[in-house]
Amino acid sequence: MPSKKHAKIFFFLFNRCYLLYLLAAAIFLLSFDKRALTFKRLDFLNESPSELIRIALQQNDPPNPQKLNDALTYYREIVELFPDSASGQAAVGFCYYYLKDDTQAAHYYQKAVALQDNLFGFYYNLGVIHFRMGKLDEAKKYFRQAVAIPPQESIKARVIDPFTQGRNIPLGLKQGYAVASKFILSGKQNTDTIDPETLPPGLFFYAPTFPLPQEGKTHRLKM
Amino acid sequence: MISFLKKNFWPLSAFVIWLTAYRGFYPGHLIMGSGDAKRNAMYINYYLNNIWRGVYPMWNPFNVWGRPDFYSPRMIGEFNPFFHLIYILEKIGFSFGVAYYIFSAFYYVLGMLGLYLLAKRVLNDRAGAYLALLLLLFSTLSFELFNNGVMVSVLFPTIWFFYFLVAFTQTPHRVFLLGLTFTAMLIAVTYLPFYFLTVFLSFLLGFTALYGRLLPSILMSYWKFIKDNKLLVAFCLLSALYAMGPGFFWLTGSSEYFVNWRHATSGSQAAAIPYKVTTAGGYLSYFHWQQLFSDLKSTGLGHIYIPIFAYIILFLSLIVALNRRMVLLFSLSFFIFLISLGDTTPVHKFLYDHAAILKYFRNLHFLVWFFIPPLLIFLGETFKNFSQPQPLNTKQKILTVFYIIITHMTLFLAFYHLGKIILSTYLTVLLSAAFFCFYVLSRFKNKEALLLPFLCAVVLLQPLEVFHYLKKNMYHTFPYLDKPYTQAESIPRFSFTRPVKGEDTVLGEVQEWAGIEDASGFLDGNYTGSVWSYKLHQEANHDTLKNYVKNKFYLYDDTKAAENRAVDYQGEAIAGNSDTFQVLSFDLNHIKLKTNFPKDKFLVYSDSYNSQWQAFINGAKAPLYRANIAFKGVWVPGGEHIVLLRYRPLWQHIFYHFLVIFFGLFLILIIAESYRYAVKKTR
Repeated sequence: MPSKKHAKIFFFLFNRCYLLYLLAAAIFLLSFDKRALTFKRLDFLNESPSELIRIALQQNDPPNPQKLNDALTYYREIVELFPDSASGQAAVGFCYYYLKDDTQAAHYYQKAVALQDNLFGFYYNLGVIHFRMGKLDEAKKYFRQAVAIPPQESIKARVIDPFTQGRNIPLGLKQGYAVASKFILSGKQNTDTIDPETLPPGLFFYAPTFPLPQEGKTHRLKM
Repeated sequence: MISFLKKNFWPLSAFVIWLTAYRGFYPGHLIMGSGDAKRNAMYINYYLNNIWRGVYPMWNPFNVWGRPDFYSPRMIGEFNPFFHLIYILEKIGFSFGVAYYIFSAFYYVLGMLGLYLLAKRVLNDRAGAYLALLLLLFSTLSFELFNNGVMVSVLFPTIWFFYFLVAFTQTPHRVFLLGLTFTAMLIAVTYLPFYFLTVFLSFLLGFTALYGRLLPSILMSYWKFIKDNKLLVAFCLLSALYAMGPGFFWLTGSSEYFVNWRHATSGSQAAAIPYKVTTAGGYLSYFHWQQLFSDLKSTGLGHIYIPIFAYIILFLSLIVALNRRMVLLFSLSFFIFLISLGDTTPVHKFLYDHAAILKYFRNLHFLVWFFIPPLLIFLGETFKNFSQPQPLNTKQKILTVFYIIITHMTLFLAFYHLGKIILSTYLTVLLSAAFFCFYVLSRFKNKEALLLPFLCAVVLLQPLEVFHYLKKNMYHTFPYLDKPYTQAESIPRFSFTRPVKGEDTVLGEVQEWAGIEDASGFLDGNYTGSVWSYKLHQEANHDTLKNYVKNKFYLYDDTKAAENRAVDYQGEAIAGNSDTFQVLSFDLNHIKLKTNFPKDKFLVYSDSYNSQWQAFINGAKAPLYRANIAFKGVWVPGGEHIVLLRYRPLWQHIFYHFLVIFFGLFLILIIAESYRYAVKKTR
């Protein structure tokens, strides 16, 4: 039988606010559906991806930072939901590139190539990002990998290229291959000596594709 | 008076500081964030202009070819007598913008006063109540009237309702019952009393579970009061029933109009709302918990912000001993919080399936400001318990100081780790740590005297900086509200024609909520409307229709138009007053005509049909038909006749008008009773 003293100690230790908070936290964590929250956020931001398409189509117009941040939030949620979506990872990288965070941009494009290694644009973009970071050897490495990829898959993909803005994908790709090759052959040792004509700053944008949950399941994106 | 000021110096000074901070939020125009705030302000102006010229606006003939004006008054709770302050200020000479701004400040202070008195009653402690007051007073709730007034219009009566409930339970007195009734009436006439009902029923559930043993004695004291004050109780019950009238008419008339035009296709009407609609959106869509602490420089309208000291107290309270009151307050707050999360937890779905009231409202994010007040009163209680512990020995004092330093240091580092923290956050943490250590270690006899000045300083430090950023970030304007329609401009003028689609000159938003000018009726994204107008929008060819609805009256020789299979475009349009047709009078709720047709004619008025419209020919009731899918039609015999079309029976007009006066009288009664009670108490 517990003594009065034990009961008093027990009461002293457990009759405290922290217990109430722990209980509330446990109820919250056990009942909260993070996936539902993700869908809520995606639905709320469902117009933000259009900013990326706008940037891809009008590479010379400055991006809207607020919209770009919304798009970044959107695609970060997307890759959390669909981590195997290479174009989703690439879209995050695309946002970071235009937000001038090259380290993160490179990180996400590396994730994209790890998931899908047959697209010219992913490697090309990595080359451009590393060039902007001043890492010329890395840039050359990625351009080499880019030109080594046969163009067939890239032509089939939904892409907006930085040369023709998606109006003529084969031509855009051809110019991409040419630019990458020219850069590899240029042998320049620092970024100042690179002719801007040699390496236009834009990136290839692949419109993300990922499996949408079907009607009848718990959640569905309004897309 | 001096003793009153002395006794209430700190709460009064909090209001003065708040008013001083608030003063800068009128940069020569009203700041209006979301559409809800704009439409509330617009409608308040529209309503006041009409009611003061003797017309209760039941029907809006200018919007989407006529619609019942049920929804807009419910949005603001038009019978709230405090709205008339705006009208009085305008009459004194202030512009509508300034009058609305002063009213907002007055109404907010009134709401906060309710919270302070409630907390004082519940906690029986001045410092705890003062803390709750400061935390809510200096939260972003201050600006919700400029972002979404609906919630504030329901929230403040709810706070006062709970004050009167607690006061009446503690001291059964006439004035508290009157207050209870009045606040219940205010809630009943607002848009969706279901937010209140959710909170009230949750409270009852929690109270019964935790204080079940007290219930018989509470009910006995109620019963004794009822027996002693039968007339007063009957009067209060009848008054509450009376105030439910507008809501009742709204619900019973809901089958003929959509409360939300956008949801018309999903069959959502004024009554029950599909689950998907109730849980759509919500604050979780855009809110991240980090925003409570981090990046406060970007705080703007609609952001949820509570002064940082609330979290310090929450953290310090980990070791505070629990009592039943704390469990009740915290559980109530947590339960409402879970409901507000919508479909991200099973709680809302369960209640939606099993408790009917949850089917009647969406916008669950409004519940945020309903779970915060009980949480702040809970914090007041934890602060009271933390700051008034048993006398400590030296060892206990050292342990307590150690605990204070550890908790504050943890918070400091957590904020630092989070990043984008404003300076006053760190200063608040440091000041709080220093004060609590000093408080525990010092040997003052009257330590409590230090609490109120300390609370004032430590709570206000951060919000004053946040308000500074808010001021910078609140740039929204809505030019119409700086010069809205005056009362003279608000008198409806009849015209035989409407602008053709594409030629509308009035801003769509103004047209929809406060329109007093004719419009084409083709509004994109219109919010509410008649089901018949909607049907017509959907079924008819807009190119043909736009020319038809340009005219308001058509004459037919037969009733083909009343078959409603399609619009009968063959009618003869009436272009203006003539010997055979004359508009004698026109207002929002009626139109009176004089006709002198050579033979019987079927007259179609292209203003939406509704079964509550009535037709009278020479004073005798005549059948009113739905014609051309959406409009009103009436057979008018040949010869000279007076035709009156009126929305809703006369007794309902009297019902609404008297209710406006009744609310005013009720408020005067409460003020008089409060005065008598206060005088009696001081004697």
